[in-house]
Amino acid sequence: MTANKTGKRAAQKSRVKNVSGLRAAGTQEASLVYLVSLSARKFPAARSAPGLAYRRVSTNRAIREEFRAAKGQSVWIAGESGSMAALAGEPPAGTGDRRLLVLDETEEITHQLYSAYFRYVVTASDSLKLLPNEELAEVLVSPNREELFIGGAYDQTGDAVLLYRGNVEPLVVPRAWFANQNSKAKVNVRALEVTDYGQTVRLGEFEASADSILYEFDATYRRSAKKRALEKDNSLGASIRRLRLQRGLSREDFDGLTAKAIARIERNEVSRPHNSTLSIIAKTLGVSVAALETY
Amino acid sequence: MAIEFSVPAPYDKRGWKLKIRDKERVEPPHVSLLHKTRCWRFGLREQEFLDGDPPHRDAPGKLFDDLLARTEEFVVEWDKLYPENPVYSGRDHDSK
Repeated sequence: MTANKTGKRAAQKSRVKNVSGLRAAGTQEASLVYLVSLSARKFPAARSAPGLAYRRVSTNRAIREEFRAAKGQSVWIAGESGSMAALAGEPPAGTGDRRLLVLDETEEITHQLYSAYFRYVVTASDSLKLLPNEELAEVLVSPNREELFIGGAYDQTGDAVLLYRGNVEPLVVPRAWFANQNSKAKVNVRALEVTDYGQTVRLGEFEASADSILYEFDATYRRSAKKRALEKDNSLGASIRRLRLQRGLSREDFDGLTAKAIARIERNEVSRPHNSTLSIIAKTLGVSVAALETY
Repeated sequence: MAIEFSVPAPYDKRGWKLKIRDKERVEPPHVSLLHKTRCWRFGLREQEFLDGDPPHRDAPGKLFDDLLARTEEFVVEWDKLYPENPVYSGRDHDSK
């Protein structure tokens, strides 16, 4: 190896070391964000996070080199649909968990091509509404980005809302879940937008917190949220009570169990509820017995 | 309809928001203080921040004082949106 090559490799290692402090919340993996053909003007927050969170790549050669070198989880954000075409010809195999967000509309065949190289591929389209660039850039480098949404779309066939998290993972939420009979706001899924830096999903007048969505649909998030909570009542009774209230049910709604029995279980006055009792509770609350404790 | 409360100056201009949305995690009752990618849940029963993260010190003291002073205003709005889990139902006195 020539001295020049050795120097370049050392420099590359050094750059990686500089960004290794950025870790996805709740994980121990280093996580990088690559900006492909994106100017600071187009992606403004990049200016306030120089080098630490972002790495800019623009030439085809650099894209290929960085792609090969990427280990662990990495998020790639491409400004143009053809930006990642440099990968064509590269072997798709690799150990990394690479995710791609393309901010430009992309043809289906190109989307398919990218799917050979990335675990998740999200491309802009008329139906997918992304955060404004300034908010998007903040979310994508946020340490809690997996707890925030970057955009979403409504799928009429499945009657569900498809949301994308800041780590580009998809999450599907049935439309029926977005309801509150006490709110005057009407749910309009066709007016879907993500706002408040990914903390709110707005469906017309109706707003849902990202926290409530993730708490309902992501068991890992629930565990993490419970850890963060200062109120550390992680007992089974407290979990059942939280879940019952989230479902809008009263203690009288458990067929086969009295309200008094539910109250005793919620106050942890029953040390080990019978399996058949837990089955009724879990069925009424719409979860498995094993999942009860995660709420 | 989500309720967005006013935020005292100069924090209103700096992007701080105070909300109860139409769909929240209902237990415990709270208002959400939002700033960019971070959120502090202020418990309406506890009258303190509910979570250890983000750090409480990162929320301006003036905003915390404002939350304390206006708790009753938030309670009224919470109870309208979430009557099945009213603020003063209390853990051991919940009649439901």
